[in-house]
Amino acid sequence: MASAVQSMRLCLRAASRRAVTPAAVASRPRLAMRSFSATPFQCQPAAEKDDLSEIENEIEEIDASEEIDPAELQRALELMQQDGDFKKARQLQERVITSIGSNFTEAMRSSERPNRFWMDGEPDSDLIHAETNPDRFDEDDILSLGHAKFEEFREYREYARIAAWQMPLLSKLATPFEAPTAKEPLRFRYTSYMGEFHPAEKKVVVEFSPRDLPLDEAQQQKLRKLLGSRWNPETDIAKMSCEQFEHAAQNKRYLGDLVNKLVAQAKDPTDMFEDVPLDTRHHTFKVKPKFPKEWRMTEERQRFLEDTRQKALLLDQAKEEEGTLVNGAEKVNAFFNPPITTPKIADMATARLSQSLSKPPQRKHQPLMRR
Amino acid sequence: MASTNCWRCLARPSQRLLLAPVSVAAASAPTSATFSTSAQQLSSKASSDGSKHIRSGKRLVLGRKKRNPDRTKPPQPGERKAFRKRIQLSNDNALKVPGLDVLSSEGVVNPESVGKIFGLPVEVVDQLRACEAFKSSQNWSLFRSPHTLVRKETVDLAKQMTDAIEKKETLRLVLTGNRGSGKSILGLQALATGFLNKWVVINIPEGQELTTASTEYAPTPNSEMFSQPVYTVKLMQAIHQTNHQVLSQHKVQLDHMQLPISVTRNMTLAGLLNATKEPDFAWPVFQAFWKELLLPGRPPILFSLDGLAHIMRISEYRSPAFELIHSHDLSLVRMFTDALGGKTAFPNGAAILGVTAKGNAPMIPSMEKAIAQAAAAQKGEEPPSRDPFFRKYDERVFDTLRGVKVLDVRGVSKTEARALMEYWAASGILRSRIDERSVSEKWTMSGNGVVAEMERVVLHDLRET
Amino acid sequence: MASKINPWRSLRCLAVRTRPSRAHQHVPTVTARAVVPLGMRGFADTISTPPPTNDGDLPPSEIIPQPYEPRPIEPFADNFMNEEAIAALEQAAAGQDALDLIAEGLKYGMPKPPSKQDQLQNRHHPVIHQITRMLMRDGKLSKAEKHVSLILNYLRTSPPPKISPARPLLPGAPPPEQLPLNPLLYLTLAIDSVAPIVRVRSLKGMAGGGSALDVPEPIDARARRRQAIIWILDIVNKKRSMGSGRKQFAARFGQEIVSVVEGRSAAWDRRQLLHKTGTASRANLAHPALVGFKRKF
Repeated sequence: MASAVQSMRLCLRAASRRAVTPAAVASRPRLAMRSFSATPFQCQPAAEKDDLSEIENEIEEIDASEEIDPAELQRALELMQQDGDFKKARQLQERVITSIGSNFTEAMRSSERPNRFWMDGEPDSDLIHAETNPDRFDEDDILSLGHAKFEEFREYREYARIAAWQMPLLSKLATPFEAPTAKEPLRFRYTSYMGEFHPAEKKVVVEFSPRDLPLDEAQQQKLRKLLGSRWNPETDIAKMSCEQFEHAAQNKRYLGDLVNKLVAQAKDPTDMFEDVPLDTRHHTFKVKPKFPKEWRMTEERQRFLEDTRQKALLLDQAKEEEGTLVNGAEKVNAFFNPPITTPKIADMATARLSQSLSKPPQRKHQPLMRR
Repeated sequence: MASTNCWRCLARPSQRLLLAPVSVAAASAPTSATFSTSAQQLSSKASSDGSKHIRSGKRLVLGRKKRNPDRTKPPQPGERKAFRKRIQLSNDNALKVPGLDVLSSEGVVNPESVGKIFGLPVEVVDQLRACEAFKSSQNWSLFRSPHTLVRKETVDLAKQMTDAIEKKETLRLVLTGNRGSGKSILGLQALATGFLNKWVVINIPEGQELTTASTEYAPTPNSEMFSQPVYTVKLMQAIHQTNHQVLSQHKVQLDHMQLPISVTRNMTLAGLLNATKEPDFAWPVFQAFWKELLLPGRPPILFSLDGLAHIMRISEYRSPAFELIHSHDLSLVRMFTDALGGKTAFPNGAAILGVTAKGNAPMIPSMEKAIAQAAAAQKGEEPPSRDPFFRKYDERVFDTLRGVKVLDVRGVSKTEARALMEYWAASGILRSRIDERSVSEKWTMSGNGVVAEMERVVLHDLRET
Repeated sequence: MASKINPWRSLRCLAVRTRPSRAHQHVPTVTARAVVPLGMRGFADTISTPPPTNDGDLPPSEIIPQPYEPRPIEPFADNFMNEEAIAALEQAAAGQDALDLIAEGLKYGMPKPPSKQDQLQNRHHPVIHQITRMLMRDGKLSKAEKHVSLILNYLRTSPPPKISPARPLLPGAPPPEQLPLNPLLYLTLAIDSVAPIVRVRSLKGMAGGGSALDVPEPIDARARRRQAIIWILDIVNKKRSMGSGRKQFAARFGQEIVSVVEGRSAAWDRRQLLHKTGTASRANLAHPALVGFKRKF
């Protein structure tokens, strides 16, 4: 019987172990455990040499004791006959089962603590240690780098398979969104790091609007005053968070209790805080300038603009005709070069002045271009 | 030796042995003085003959950039300040602008004169100059003679003042507005209105001068207040100079027995103002003058102050207990704030003007809030409440500004802007054609007609000349 | 002077598109969501939905959201959208206004583009621009502009200069009485009159034996003005300030400008000295080293 247990244990150990790897890759440790994986857990470190030999020895032992000794069988049968109630057999069975269980769990348990933040302090499993002795290379294999490359491709393909075959199945798990009802005025926010350990994982945030709570106006106002800087006056939403406990559920419980306490206090009519002004100093109201509606170009505005421009032109024109349009440069010019007021001369005289009395003398060097 | 003994007595017993006995003979030896302003080495060197080598040629000068000293005459004391404060009211280069009316007491309140340029009468210019209404930052020096644009606000303010004074009421008004929008000019126009209407005009040109501890102060006996005697003398001189014509028609009516100078019944008010130039007597005399002015049958008063924010805070003066004095504890300031706050009764009618400044003014949240509340009350709106979490509100400021009227000065309208630009062009300062397009361009560029900005835009933009 | 056949205007509307932009295939699916006032959350069982505030902008909420259909992959399209732009280019090449075609699709026509002088960077006269930048210290442009404004005001208010015949100004200058009312001309006249017309470059080691070779060379207007402003600023900075306040620098600068126009300024001596050096070194232009030097380039 002991041998049966032994063989079972061995089978399990072998199953939990990776297929025998070539010597060149043997030093490469397994990949880091992933939270989401379709491959079986490969929990134990890669088999070392002495471990391997140990297994081989055990296998040999089992193989050696493969032939059943008739005497031993006989003895066992006798024992069974003696035990009328199969008491011992049952005990044995139980023992076998428990040992199977313990072996199984032992095999399934990972040897390392996964709950370490960012997996620090662990050896980098993706790193390839070139520790292989080059002398031991037997010229019958590709290099370890090649193996690593293959491993990489396998990994790619693995994920491609997952994406092609398993991901679509996730849609079966999808549940339709149901909007919260008025009975559920609190909105909780949790944070998940997809199975990785993270200190912020336990944080829970609750948001609610005092208007959604079953309170009247005065109570709501009191609640806003109680909430202090957690209340956003622009959106009228309060936001509180808690991460003081170890688990998200505890934090959520705390927040729920807190909200209940706040509501109870808000409903307490002994002091409604009417003398306390609502404090909004914690919030800066941002005014985002928008394009004014009045500036939008419409047909009407277009016409109005045309009209005003026309009027302005007309006004200028009228001023110009009137002579009241001011031009600075002209004013200055007129001041410094006053228009020469010619004394009144009789028409005859001007007529005589305008025509030259004698013919202008002919210039000596006439342009002799015309030849 | 006696002195030695004495020193020994004073020394500690443990050190007594260390003190060397002082010998009289040693004192007579030629030693150097323990403290001397002359260099000993030099004095001994000077006696030695010139056996030492004197280096010829260039001498090493450290700090190569040694500027040769300025040989021009340094400015006389007070000359720099005079340069800063100089006010030039005429420019011989500028052209004379024909066809402009002269400001009159009827023209100021006439709504038809809105958007026109008026010249200031010569005697009013003198009065305004005497009461320091012109500022050196205003561009009076560019034009041939002082002219002002009568704006809608001018007519509004003048009308309010004349109406109140006709009904023998008190107009308490604060002029506010954005920087460069023409508050001080509006205050000047109000003063001109006062001079034209023969009111008694009292102007404090800079509130800052009273509270920045730049003038002397003294505690007033039998009160917790402080008077500023030198400034009071100056103010009395200014009032005498500007209002001589009005004040010389009224005689002293009260007995002023407590005054240090003798005041008789046949003395005119102008004479009372001019009676003393002694700073010690200034404040009691000024108080007596103020009392006389408040009697019924006296001329109406226009009391104006520029730079309101400076008198609404804690001044830089210290009390004998070395605590900062609140501005309202300065008696001259108190006189103004009582008038502005409505505590003083004016039986002859009065206009009290407070002009805020934006250029050089401290931020006074109490004043801003009080003015905002007064403005809202004037419009019949809900007054904005005080910030409940601000601790430094000054109740005295709120008391002073409770119930005042607020005149918010904004940019000029386009017609006013056109009149202004036409005046500039006719003076030859602006060398461009003034049409609707250019006016509206400059008006827009200056933030919808903020006058100072318009001046900046127009006078600096010289491309089209 | 920008030529009218400027391709950049029309090139600006050249589009590089991989697909023809066609009208929306899908009717915009607007999910019928109740409009909830700010601060309240929309709940599933909220009964009272306030009426939509914007009337007519949103399509009625009865539109049934259509099932998702994947868009067929479009082939790589021809770039026919550029036809318009190419047509505009051709029009520009023909000497017509290229903007006519572009303005077709606009509701209110094409606004007139600002001319070069209307642009923000070029809004001042070049001389004003240059002086402002040269007065600027520590990057405080607005302060420098204020100074320039005050300088112009000083020139406006100062009495007309008395021009000395020993230092003639630029030919064609207006009579001095007219200068104060044209401060820009006053300033430009002063700067341009005192500006040197040559720069003497001293080429190191070119004269042989390690001695420098002074070579005069002509300079353009901007560089001439720059030199003049540097000289004037040098004098202004050394001058003792007789006043205080914001106008004192402007007064000093303005006084120097007036004294330049009146021929009293020390900047004239510097100009004369420079011109003398330039005249003396004129012969160096034919220096064999320089001729060889020039030939090299």
